[in-house]
Amino acid sequence: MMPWVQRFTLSQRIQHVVLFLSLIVLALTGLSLMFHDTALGQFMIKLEGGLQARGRLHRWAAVVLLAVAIYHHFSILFTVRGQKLVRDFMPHASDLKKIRQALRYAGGSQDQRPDWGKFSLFQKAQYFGVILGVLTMIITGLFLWMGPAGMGLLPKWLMDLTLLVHGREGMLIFMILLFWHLYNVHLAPGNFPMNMSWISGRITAEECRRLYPAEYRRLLETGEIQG
Amino acid sequence: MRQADSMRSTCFLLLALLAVTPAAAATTSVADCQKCHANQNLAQLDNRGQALSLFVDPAKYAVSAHGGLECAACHVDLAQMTQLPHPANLRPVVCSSCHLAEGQEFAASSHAQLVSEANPPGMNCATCHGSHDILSPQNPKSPTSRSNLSALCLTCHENESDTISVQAEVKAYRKSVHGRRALTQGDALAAQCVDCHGSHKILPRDNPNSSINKPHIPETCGRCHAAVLADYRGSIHGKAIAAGVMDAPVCTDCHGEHTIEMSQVSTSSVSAEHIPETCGRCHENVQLTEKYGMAAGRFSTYSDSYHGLANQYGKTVAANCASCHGYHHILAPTDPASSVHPNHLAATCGKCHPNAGENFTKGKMHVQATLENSPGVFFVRRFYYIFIGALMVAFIAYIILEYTGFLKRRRHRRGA
Repeated sequence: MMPWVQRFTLSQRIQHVVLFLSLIVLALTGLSLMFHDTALGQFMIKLEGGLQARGRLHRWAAVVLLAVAIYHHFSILFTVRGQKLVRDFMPHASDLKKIRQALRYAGGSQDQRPDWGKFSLFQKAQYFGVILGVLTMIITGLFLWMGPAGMGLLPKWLMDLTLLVHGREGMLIFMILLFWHLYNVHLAPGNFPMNMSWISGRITAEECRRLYPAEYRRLLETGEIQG
Repeated sequence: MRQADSMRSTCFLLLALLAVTPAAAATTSVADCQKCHANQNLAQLDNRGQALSLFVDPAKYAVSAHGGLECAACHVDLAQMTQLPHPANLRPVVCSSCHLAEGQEFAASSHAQLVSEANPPGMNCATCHGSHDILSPQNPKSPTSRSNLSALCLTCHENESDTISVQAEVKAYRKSVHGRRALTQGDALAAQCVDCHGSHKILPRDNPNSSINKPHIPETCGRCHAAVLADYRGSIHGKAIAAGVMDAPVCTDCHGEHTIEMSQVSTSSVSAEHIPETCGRCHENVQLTEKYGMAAGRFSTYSDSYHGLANQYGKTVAANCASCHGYHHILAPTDPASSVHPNHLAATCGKCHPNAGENFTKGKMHVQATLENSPGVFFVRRFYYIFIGALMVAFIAYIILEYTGFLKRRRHRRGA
């Protein structure tokens, strides 16, 4: 039997599913508003049940996002597994050197894969990008949700910026997910049609040895897997 | 049949002229004239060879506006004539010898120009007023009374085949608030054709003396809408027109002409639903905003705002242009009396937002953000533009790189 390496806990997998479901709804309802002056935007708004229903849908999805964000922050602060996750995601100075290897390997000018730990620097950047992006969206979104009451708290110009940042940050997250994350997990060489680890939570020991050699060595040392 | 009739009439006239013996008459009374002209068949051939009835209905004449006058009062030749029957072809009646002002106005009007080769009878007083049966406009039976007036104009102007047909306008007018009130509800005060276009003095709109020439439109509408006119004259639009800036709007530019409708009706150009695009016709027009140094894109930036979006999706309770700026008495935002001057902004916003305070006024309202007027928005926008753009370039470059390597390795494997 092929040995497996556990990569994500069940809780993390569920968080991921809840996160991406809420993000899909948020992106569809948000982008349709952003592009309300185009035929596609107007069609989307109609599909979402009109302008007001669109708003309600967006805010319900936002509540789900907020819930999963709060849950995640609790888990990384107060649970052992959560704290380990953050440690695994922490960038290391040695990662910078591995970027060069990664690019050379990707381009085919070297056959030696980069010596990544559990997560590559790309994945680490994505994780903190998501944290930062979601925080930005939640904070700006809450002010926008307050509407005129929010305008009583913040001067008009700051509300203008809040609205602008909410839209542009949303666009940024959408583009990263579409062109980077979805590419990597579906279309990158070796991952077509889909990397299954988001469901199974595990990869084979062989995959781990190829893609995350430093992690593989650590697992051998600690005896979590047998060579 | 008709030709036979006219032939008979002509014969009768000639016979009459021969038969009646010349008689001395110091003055010709109405009764004298009626000896011949009360005959329904009295007629002659006009200069185009068509029968021209010379019959004057004594009953109609008696009750006409001129019923008390002798025939010679209008047919002035008769005063010199001592013998009856008088010779044929009296000089044409000149109404303006009494109705001086109307005569002068008519002489300068478009209708007076209609006499031409192609249209020999042209138009004269009788075309609208009638002749021997003329009635005062105060008489409801008169074609020129308020109740018949528009129908009178339409006898010519709704004629399909005619070049003077203005069917589209007439159709629109019938549906408009003026047309509905005047024509179907019988409201004598509602505007009819002549109220805006003038009656005797009617002129095309490009004539500077026309009541519907652009700078005269406010006073024309103001004849009925006096309070609105006073408001408008004090507004930035009214002052601009008074100063000769003809790009500024007059009443019809916002309200329409024949299509005019109450603001409460959703199809109106000044309804809550349509006012943004109506104002936007000028305030979104690059030529005009450039020419007069007005802020650009007022409509598109409004459309992107909460108010604009809500309005587009049918929430007419949301603020439109007029809610904040006012309408007839609209002023420049820099004018201290303006409802959108910074001093009044909190109060203006407060009409809908009870919590409106200082914070509402600290910022720009629906402007196209530039480095000068909104540096914050400008830089944030620029930052995301560059950041997203750079990331996309990097991603696509990486994807190309990765697939190049992938294909290279595969070729290598197969080659080996």
